[in-house]
Amino acid sequence: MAPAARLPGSRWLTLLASKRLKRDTRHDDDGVPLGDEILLVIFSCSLTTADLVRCAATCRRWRRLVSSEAAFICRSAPPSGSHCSALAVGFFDQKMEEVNGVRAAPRFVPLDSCFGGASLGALFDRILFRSSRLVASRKGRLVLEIRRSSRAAVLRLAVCNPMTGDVSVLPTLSGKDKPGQYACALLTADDLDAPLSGSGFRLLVVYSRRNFTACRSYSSDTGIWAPEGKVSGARIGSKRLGQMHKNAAVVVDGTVFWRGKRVVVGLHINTLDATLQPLRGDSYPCTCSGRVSENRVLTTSSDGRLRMLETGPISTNQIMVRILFQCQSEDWKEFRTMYVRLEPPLPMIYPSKFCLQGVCEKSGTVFFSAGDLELNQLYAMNIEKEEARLVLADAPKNPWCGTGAFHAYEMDRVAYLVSLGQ
Amino acid sequence: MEVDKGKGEAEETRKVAEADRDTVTLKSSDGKLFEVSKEAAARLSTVLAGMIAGGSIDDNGTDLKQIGSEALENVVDYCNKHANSIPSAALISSSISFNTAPFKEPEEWERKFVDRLSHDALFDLVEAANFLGMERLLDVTCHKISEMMKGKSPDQIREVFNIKNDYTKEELEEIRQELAWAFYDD
Repeated sequence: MAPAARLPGSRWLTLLASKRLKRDTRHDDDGVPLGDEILLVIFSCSLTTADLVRCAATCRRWRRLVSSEAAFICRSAPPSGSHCSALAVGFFDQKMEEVNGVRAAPRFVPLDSCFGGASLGALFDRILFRSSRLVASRKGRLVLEIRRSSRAAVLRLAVCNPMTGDVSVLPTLSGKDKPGQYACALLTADDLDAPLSGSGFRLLVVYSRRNFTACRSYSSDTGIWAPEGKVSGARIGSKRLGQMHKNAAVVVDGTVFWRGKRVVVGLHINTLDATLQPLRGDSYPCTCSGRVSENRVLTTSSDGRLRMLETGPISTNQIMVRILFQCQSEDWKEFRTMYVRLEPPLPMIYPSKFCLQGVCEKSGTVFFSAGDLELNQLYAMNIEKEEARLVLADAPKNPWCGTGAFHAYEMDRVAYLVSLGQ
Repeated sequence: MEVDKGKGEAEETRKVAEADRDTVTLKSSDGKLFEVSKEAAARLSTVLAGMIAGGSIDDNGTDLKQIGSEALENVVDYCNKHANSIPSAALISSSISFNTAPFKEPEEWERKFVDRLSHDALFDLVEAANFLGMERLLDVTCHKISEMMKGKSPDQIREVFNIKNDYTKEELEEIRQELAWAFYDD
């Protein structure tokens, strides 16, 4: 299938794509005494994405290699280092209410206004996705629940990469296999110690059975759902699964983490051992949905450790962002607190409403909305740069809070490097 | 009689010892001969291991036409140093499962070994390591070369690697604008 979209600001890339690239396996006569094979091994040696972009900018042959062999280069876990802000693309959201039994397609909102990003949402024009529900977004892929109203007793999930246009429709889970309330997590090669092909993924689904918590996973390599496994260590009830379902999963050291109400749920991918860690203390409360909820979100540090973000407003032009880490006693301790300036400042004297919407873990992008009864503004903040920029000046009054309808979106590293050659 | 028998046995033993020599002789493209521990060669190079097992080792010098004497000297030097250093279990396993296992950091002596090489010698060595299927040496040399790219601007990379810039002026300007984040971020 043709790519559904081009990259943000891909003018030079488009320009170059019109000139035919040399396809020789060896030198495009760039003067370098190293063959393609060796250069690729070198590129996959712990170079950061920025390093690889600069390598691609040296000459055509190197750009061709970085782009065409991106999956190979990224086959080992990306290096620890800084977040890569260039991966951040924007967010998807979806209206929850239905009109005549049909749910509107998810909408894509790009971070960068000059990016013709509307095309990322074009994927949802396909009849397959009619009335589908966006469930999760992670590592450049979206998880959708495909709805077939005539047959309610099935769960049909699809995983797609809007950057490449790849769509995988997973085998239906029906009858007694259909989970009730579930939480899911999308895993890619660098989350797993078992080998997975470069662009492959696994989808983990956790749900509740009458007497136990169950989990099963789909692998794109085998194309089937593995048999249901029993979760040990802790029971996860439907109510908690519902909370987890609305919050994005993160994966650290072979364990998936979700945030529930005042709890962090961990599930070891291989052993299916579950842990429930209570979240003590109070975060700045979010009151958008009428109920009080936590302004907390799980994410990972640039070197892949589990972190939690807590945010709250300080003034009309500043917010507080606290990064917490988990110490050995399983309590969360402050790692760092920063005060981030809003650009431009909020038009009201003080925001009575403040809501943390979501995080892109690889790019270190944090989305939050702030406002009052009249107006709500959506900002995106970069953790490394400690600056927050306005994304939407007039976000819906009671936007995404508590609905699970907001999904921050970033490209995966492979898609980004591939796009350098387009 | 007794004496003759003993002499014959000694002759036998000498012949066996020759076939069982614990070194192999390698010949570079420019005809220079190098001797290397057979055990280390077989352990570190899949190609040499195959030749030793297949009996295609020439006692007068096994021809390696693709490898110059300087690179071969470094290869042999590496093998001998490796034979003398106590290889950690991690090192051995990393050379076996090279394609899937994450790269293990070079050990101190390996770092020193590649650090003293000129760029040209390093590039020749990485090609030789690739040719001989020496996965650990390939890892170590590639790691060293990747460090020469880290944090460098495209101009600096071109200089180090002697790359001919084949982008047009307009393309370069576009690259600088569109990918500015990668140029100024760190």
